[in-house]
Amino acid sequence: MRNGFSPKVLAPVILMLIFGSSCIKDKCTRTYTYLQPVYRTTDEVRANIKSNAPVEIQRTGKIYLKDQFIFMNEPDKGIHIIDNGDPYTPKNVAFIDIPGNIDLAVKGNILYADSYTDLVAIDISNPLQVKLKNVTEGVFPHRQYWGGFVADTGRVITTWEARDTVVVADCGTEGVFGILGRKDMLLVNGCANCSNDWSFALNSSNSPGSQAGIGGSMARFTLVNNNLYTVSHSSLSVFNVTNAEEPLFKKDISIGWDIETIYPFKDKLFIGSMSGMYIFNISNPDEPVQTGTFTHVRSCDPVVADDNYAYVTLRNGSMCNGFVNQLDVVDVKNVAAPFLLKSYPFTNPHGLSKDGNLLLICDGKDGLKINDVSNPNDIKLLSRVEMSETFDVIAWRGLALVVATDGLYQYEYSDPSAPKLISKITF
Amino acid sequence: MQKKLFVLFIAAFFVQVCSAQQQKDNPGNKKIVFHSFNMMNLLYNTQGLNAGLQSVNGFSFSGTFAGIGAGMDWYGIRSAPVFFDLRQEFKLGRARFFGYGNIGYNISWPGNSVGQPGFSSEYKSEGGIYYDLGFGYLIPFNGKNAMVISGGYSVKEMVEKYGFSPCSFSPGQCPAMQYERYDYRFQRLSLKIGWRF
Repeated sequence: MRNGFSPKVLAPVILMLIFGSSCIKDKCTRTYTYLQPVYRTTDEVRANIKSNAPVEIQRTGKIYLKDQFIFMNEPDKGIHIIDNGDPYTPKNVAFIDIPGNIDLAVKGNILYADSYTDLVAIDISNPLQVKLKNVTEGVFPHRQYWGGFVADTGRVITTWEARDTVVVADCGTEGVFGILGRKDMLLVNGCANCSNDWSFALNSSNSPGSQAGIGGSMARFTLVNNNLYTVSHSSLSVFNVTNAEEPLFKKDISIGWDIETIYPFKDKLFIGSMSGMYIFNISNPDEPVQTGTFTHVRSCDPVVADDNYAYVTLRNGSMCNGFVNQLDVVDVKNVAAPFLLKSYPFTNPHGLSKDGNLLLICDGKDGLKINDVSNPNDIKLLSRVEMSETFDVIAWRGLALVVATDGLYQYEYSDPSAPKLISKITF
Repeated sequence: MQKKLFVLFIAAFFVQVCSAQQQKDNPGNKKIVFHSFNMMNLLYNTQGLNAGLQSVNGFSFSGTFAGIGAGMDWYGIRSAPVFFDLRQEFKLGRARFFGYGNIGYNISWPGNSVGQPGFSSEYKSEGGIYYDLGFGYLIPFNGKNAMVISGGYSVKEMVEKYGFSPCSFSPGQCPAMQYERYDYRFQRLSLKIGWRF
């Protein structure tokens, strides 16, 4: 060969490129973070259920309004206490460490909160010096971890440490022309993630009562007079709190699957599930009786109600598997036979709150929408407030407390067509 | 990185040798000619077999061709490589051979169904480097037309990012979004068959 272009020279190079096995093998890596539980003893955890120094709010949780204080849950960690004496300048004043906490409700000076499978009662007469009064153990047995993780039952998980990991991954290229190849790998890898050590709370507050505070529509705890009602994934639990410091578990009522929220109105409980809304009569507070059911397509559905109508937001989402995003107005004048009055399209409606003829709806990325519902057959949008993704709202005496992904907003809506932002606590 | 540099070195060496060869064989060939290479691509390695399509268009001068190519590549994760193509023809007896080198960017264009209900709620993919080096054989017919057969070594890189949230149930009831990243480097043998005009 001329000019050094000799097969004898090039052949080894070509052969190395072609047959060097490492050169013709796919190389794929998976980089992920897994969570490692950090345990403490039960005694240590209970000793720490007190007013600790305020901590930065990191994740959006359930909210509860009691007098001048906002109690906001930091999922699985505890409750932030925010002094809202001056709504223009709310102050994050304390944090109660409650591992495994998702939900809360307040009666008088007692705050009820879940801590994994336990119900704790905390004296909040002085929010800066709260005291643990009682622990009712094992009343929320349905709490479980995502992906089959089994925790050490002798201790309590207080937090999770994130650890970054890089591992060799299956490239999913096996097969011919993609048959038995990549699509199968996607499925496998998707499920592989489920086995991470996620703490997933299946249970978890809400409404005006004589001494109660006000909860959001996403609540799973609610207080009516001397009873605390909580919903799990499949049941309604009744606690008698006549002696507020010592809640007495009365009974569990099996309802159905995929229960999400609970909302009280007078002598009724409206319970939202992914497939419908259940109405319970609580004339006998210790013995709720199911009086009616309204069935809808599968979706997530917080609910609020008044004497005549229930307002149910339906949304899609990865957990809910639904495909509708709308507000259903359900006629509940006859609680034994509720029926759909009318549906209104929304973007991705979450929590909602009713104040007189105003219905405030958190419409996901569309922000907060204030609607005139004086005529449920012809609901009119009065205003829309743009903000980051909104989850839940409490409307109370012209003040809307809105939980969004990036903060806790307060809007004054005396003029509902032009709500005014008065403060924001940024997460 | 060392491997990439090695491959680039081999490519540069190859083009240099071929260019010298071409100059010697066709000293009078000084005309700029447009060519279009349109090829089907079989991609194979020890793990799988898949296909691709490519079209390369450019100009040749004195046996050296330079052009821009684009195509579809279904190996692993579907993508669309866009690349600079350099090739050099040379003759061995009456046979017409060429060596080629491609380097460019592999544009991510996933065709698989992504996002598993309940698990993956965010998905993002990114492209990466693409290169292909090899040798080929031209079978001329009807003027400047030719059937093209080539074999080479092809690499494409991609990144996928998944965001997982077990649910979008309500605030506080689901763990925060969790992300994971997949870095892919697909290293294949490439057999191309096509037509040049």
